[in-house]
Amino acid sequence: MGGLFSLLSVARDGVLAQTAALNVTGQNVAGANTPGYVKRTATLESVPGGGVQASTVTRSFDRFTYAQLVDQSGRLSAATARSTAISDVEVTMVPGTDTISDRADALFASFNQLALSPSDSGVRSAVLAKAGWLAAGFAQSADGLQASRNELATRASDVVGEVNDRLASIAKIDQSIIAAKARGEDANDLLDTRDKLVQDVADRVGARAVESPNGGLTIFGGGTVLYEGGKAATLSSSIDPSGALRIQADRNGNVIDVTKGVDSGTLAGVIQARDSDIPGLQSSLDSFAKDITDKVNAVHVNGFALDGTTGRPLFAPSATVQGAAHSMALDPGIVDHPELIGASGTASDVPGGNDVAVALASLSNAQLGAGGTSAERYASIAGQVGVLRNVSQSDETMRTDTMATATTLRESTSGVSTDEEMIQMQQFQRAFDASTRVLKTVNDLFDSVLAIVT
Amino acid sequence: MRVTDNTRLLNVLRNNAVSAKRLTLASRRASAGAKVISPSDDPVAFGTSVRRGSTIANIASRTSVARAAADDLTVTEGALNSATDLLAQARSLAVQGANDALSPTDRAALATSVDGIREQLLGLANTRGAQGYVFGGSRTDTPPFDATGAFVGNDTVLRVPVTDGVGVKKNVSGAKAFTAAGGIDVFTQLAALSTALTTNNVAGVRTGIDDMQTGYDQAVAVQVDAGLSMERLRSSADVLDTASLAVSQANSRDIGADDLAGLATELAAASNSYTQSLDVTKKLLSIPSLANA
Repeated sequence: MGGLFSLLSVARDGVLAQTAALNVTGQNVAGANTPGYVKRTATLESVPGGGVQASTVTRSFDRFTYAQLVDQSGRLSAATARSTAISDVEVTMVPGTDTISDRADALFASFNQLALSPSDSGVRSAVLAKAGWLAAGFAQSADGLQASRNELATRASDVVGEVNDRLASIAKIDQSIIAAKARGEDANDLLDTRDKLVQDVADRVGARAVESPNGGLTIFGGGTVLYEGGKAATLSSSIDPSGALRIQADRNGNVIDVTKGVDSGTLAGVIQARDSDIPGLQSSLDSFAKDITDKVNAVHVNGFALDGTTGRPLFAPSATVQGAAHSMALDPGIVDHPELIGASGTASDVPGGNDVAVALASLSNAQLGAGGTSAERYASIAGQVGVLRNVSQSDETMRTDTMATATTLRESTSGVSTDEEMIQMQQFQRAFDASTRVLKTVNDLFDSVLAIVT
Repeated sequence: MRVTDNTRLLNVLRNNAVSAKRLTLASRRASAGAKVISPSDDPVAFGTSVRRGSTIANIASRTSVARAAADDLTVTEGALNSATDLLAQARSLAVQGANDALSPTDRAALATSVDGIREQLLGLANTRGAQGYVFGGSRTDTPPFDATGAFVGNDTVLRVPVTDGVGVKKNVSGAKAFTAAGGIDVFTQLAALSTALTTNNVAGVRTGIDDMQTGYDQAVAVQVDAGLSMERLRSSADVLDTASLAVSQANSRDIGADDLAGLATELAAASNSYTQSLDVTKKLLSIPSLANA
């Protein structure tokens, strides 16, 4: 009789072990499309005296491929953030129609008309309108660039908030994992969640995680420790006196500037676009606006208006290069006064004299400062934008490819294959069926024995 | 390498995205009719296109101004043509008046005709064009000759910008056409001729013949000057038109707007590629799985 009871125990263990294995297969199928889910494998092992048991459930986790994924994810996010920002800038700086160059051409064309008809009030009004249109073009572009920088600052603030949320979650989960491991409990679900959160942090600010023997993580990012031993740093973003973004990390009350250390994640792309790429364009635009303002004014002040007065600028003079594009406007004294445009070179030649108008028209091909003609200056800025967009797009494409490779590697080790799970399900199901068949056989044997006894 | 369902699907998604991106780019180029539409398409070509676009706009503006100035000179040239006719008539009347057989009454009649010519000539000297009085120099807003025939304009030469550093004259000197600055003051001499005819001063009439010839010659000289400027403006405009065409063609070539067939071919190829990518996706998605067994 002891043999039958032993067999009954073995069959029962078989049913329980196959059920546990089927449970893991079910989890794998259910989690196949869950971000961060790592394929589990039930480990079946023999028990003394025969039988089997599902001893552990292991995650098919490879630290190298995961680290690659986290690293590439951060770099792709940085490239995407920069590329998106520059894409907006390209539209701002080089719209499909009515570019600054188009507007400058229109102004020079109006100077040509002024040279032909210096006393024509309609032509004079057109000159003022075109000059105002050009100034508005500079101001709109400058404002557009500044708006992009403001939006990127807001984006940085949002990203910093998201990072803080995730670091706080990681702190809780990390402590739970340490406790579960200390108790010898299954912490796989917690590990999946924590790994996904670390990838989220890497997406935003760049991160590298190192696991300690007790299962706890230390997370590095932005050139500092973002999380360690249950304590997460708190990031904050602000604008420094120079107008640049400043990212600070507060670790136990010790606040350090980590801006320069942020070299990956969305935040890195935002910082590069906002405080490196766009300021370069703003500087070029301001310089262009200042030079064209000064050049036109230098000629126009020599012109005599229809009332015989002279010495009046066409554009409001800008004292500094910085902000020249934003503040570019018609000189207040000439607004709504086309008769004050100085077309004549002498008072005695008013109203038909056109020497100054001819000189103004000739500015279309004149050197503005050291950077070339008006068209060349605009072409240079457009080229600057084009190169930035090209570089950022190429970087994004390259990062997309490397991210795809990292994802493929991660899937290769940790992803769920439905076919594999179906095969294993069949395998466990058959073993389960066989175990139940053994149980039935034991039951029949018990019946036979009992029949003899009774 | 182990391949999971997600590996396959991610590859499909990525390949589809690449094909869709290519199709979008080809569609954008085909609809715009050019390969270079924004700076990022080709920063160097776009920059060249900006410079050429500006050159084309500048040429168009200067061509327009040159033709308008030439049209104004047409008015000037017409006025001078009429003026020379009148001065020729005045000379002819002087020749008639110098005939000894003519009676004082006949000479007085001729004087009336000379007075009429002077009035007509004064009107011509105060001709207005599109930009104001054409013979007043820079004083385009007031008649250059007053009722007595005195010149109240100036001799300023007005030019229009046609090419850099080269301004072409858009006016002629009214002073040289009708005043002593060109030889004789035609209005004074016409008045003198009229007086000589009225007073039966044959010697004075004979002097008038020479004066009218001088007046005729100086008006013709200024007319020739107007014609030359007009011709120069028109030929400059023609040269600018030719230059504009050449720059436009170069611009089209640089931004790929001269190869519409190429753009259409690129669109067709991208469209085929995308269709094939979708077909492959369909096949991959229909691969049997053990889950369906």
